Amino acid sequence: MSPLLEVRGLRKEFAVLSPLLKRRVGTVAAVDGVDLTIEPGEIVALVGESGSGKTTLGRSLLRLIEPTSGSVRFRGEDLLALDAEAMRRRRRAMQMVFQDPYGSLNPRLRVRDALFEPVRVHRLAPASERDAIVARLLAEVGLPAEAAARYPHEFSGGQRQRIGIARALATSPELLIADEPVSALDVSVRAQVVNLLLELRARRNLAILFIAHDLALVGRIADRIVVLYLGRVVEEGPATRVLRRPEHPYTVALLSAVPSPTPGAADGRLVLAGEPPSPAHPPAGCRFHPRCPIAEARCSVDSPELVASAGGRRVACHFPGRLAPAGKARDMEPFDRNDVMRKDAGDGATQ
Amino acid sequence: MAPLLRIRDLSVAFRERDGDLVAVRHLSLEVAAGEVVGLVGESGSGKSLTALAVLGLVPPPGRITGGSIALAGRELRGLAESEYRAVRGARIGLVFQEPGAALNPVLTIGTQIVEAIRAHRDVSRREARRRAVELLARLAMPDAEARLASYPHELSGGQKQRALMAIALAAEPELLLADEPTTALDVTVQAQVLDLLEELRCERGLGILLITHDLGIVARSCDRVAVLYAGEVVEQGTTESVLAAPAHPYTRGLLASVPRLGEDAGDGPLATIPGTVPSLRERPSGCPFHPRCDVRRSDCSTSEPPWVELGAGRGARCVLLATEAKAG
Repeated sequence: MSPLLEVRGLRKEFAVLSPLLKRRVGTVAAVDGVDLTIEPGEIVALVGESGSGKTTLGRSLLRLIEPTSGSVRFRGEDLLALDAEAMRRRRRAMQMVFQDPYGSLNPRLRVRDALFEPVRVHRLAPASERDAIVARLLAEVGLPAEAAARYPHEFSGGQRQRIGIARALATSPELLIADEPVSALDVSVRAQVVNLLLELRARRNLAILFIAHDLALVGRIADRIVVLYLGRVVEEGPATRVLRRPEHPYTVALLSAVPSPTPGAADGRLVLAGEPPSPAHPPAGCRFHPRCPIAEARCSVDSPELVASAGGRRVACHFPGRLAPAGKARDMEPFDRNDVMRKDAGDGATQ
Repeated sequence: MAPLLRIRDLSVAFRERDGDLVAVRHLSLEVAAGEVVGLVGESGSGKSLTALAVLGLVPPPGRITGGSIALAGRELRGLAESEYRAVRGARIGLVFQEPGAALNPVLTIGTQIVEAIRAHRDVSRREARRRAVELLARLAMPDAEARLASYPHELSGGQKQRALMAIALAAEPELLLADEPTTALDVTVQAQVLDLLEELRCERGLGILLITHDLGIVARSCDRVAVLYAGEVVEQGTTESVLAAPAHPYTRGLLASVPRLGEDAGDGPLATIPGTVPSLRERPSGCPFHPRCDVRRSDCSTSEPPWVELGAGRGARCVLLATEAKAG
C-alpha cells in the first residue's frame, strides 16, 4: 500500500534582506532536505525547538507556504505540480489545526457558520443540510448542540480548540496537520483535547502530523517521532524506541531537559550549553556539533547523513547511541516491558 | 526570626457594578531565605495577581481587600508609593514570562542594567558597568562584555531572559518573584535558566517565589509548593510530599493528566479532569472544584471546604480530608 503522504527532499528557503535597502543578501533554509512519510491513520510527531523548521515544514505540506524544492506526494499525487485551483481542492483532504484557538477562528462568525464554511467552500453539501452537519460535527468533538448559535469568545480555550478541530473535520480530511494544538491550553484541559485527537484517529482512521515540543506528551500519542534540528531530521523512528533508546545526542539532551513531575527523577540529567543557533548561520559539518557533548573533530567538518539504524530508525550522527540517556533510563525502567529493547541495550539497562 | 516573605490571608478583588469579583481568597504563603517555593495554577487561578500584590502593583479596578504581606517582618501593605518603590527592585526582583516585553527596546542591555544598579546602589557609572559585566557573566551570558552594547532585539529569547534576570538581580534583592520565567523558552534553554535560579538560591540565599503551571518545573526546582485553584490555595506542602502523594483531588487530577516520559501510545487515553477552569464570574458555590471533582459529596456544592492540616507543614482544602482526619 502506498503511504498517505510522502515527502522527499523538501526544502524551503527564505530570502534574507538587508534592513535598509531590502536587497537580498542571502538565504535561510528553514527546512533543509526533509524526508517524511505518513501512513493512513498514523500519528507522526514532529518535534524540535524554535528555529527547527517544524512549523514551516507543516505549512509547506499544504502549500500555505510554497516550498522551494523537493516533492510532496499525497496518495501518490505530486502536490507541488498542482495549479492553485487544484491545490485548493486537494486541501479538502488535508486540514490544519492551529496552536492558538483564539486567533484561528473568525470572531464575527457564529460557530455554526464557522463550521459550515469549509463545507460550503468545497461545495460538499447544500445549505439545507447545514444544521444537521453542524450538529454532527459538534457532537463528534464533544460540544453541546447549543454551541452552534454562539460566538467563539463565549467559549473557554479548550472548547475553542474543539471548535477548531470540528472545523478541520468538516471536509472529512484524511490528514490533519496539528501545529502545537494543546500548548496554549490549561494543563487540566490538554489531556481532554489529546484524547479527542486519539478518538478521531480511531474512529475516522485519520492520520495526524502532530507538531509539538513536549516530548512526554508526544510519547503518549505518537506512532512515530521525527526530531528536527535546524531544518534537518536528526532522528526518526517508532516513538517507543526513539524515546526509550534515543541514539542522537540531541534527542538524548531534549529528553533529559523535560522536567518530570516524579520527585527525584531529575538525577543525572544533561544540560546542553548554548541555544539553537540561527538557521541563517548554520554551523559547518553536523549542525549540532557546537552544542554536542560528544562531538569530535570530524563532526565540525562532515555533515552526517540520515542513515538506517536499529529497529526501523534513522539517525544522522557519526556516533549514534554513544551518549546514553543517564538518569532517565532508570526512570523509565518500570515501563520498559518491551524485551526487544534489551537486545541492543548493553549498557546496564538490563536488570 | 520572621520568614523572608510572609503572606497571611491575602484577598484581592476586582470592583464591578454589581459587587466584588474575588480573584485571590485568603491566601497564606511563606518563603524563607534560600528557599524556592512554587505557586502552581492554571489560568485565572490568581497566581500572577498574587505576585503583583506582593509588589504593590495590583492593576485597578483590582485592589487588595484583606490580609497582610510582610517582607522580613515588615508590613508592605499601606506603604506610600515612594516607600514601595524602594522595596521593588532593591529588595524584591521580578522576572516575567515575556522578557521581550519587559525590556526597553530603544536602550542597550548595558544601559538598562547599569541604570538598575545605580537606581539602588550609590556607585559610579564605571563601577556599575563593571558589575553589569560580572552579573551577565555570572548568568552565563555568552560574550558578556560585548552584549552590553546590544539592543534587546539583537538577543535570542534565552539571552533576553538572562538580561532581564540581570536587571532583576542588579540591586541584589533578597526575594525574586519569577512569573513563568521559562514558559517562552525552548526546553534546553529552560533547563539552563532553572539551573541558574538554583545557583542563585544556593550562593546568595535568594528566596524565590516561582510561579508556574508546569509540575515538572516544580519537581525540579522547588522546595515547597502551593497549588492554587480559583484563587485559593487548595494544597500546600513540601514538593516531595505533594507530588508523591497529592491529598487534594485537584492536585491528584492535575498530576494524573500530565504525560510522563516512559509512557507510550499503548497506555491508552490520558487521565483527564472533566470540565474547564471556571472564570471568576462563574465561580461554583461551596468548593470551587466540586463540579470537576471525581470524589465529591452532596455537601461539597453548599459548604466551603475547611483547611485541613496534614502535619509537617502540609495541608489541603477538602472536606473529605477533614472527615478522614476525624475518622482516623
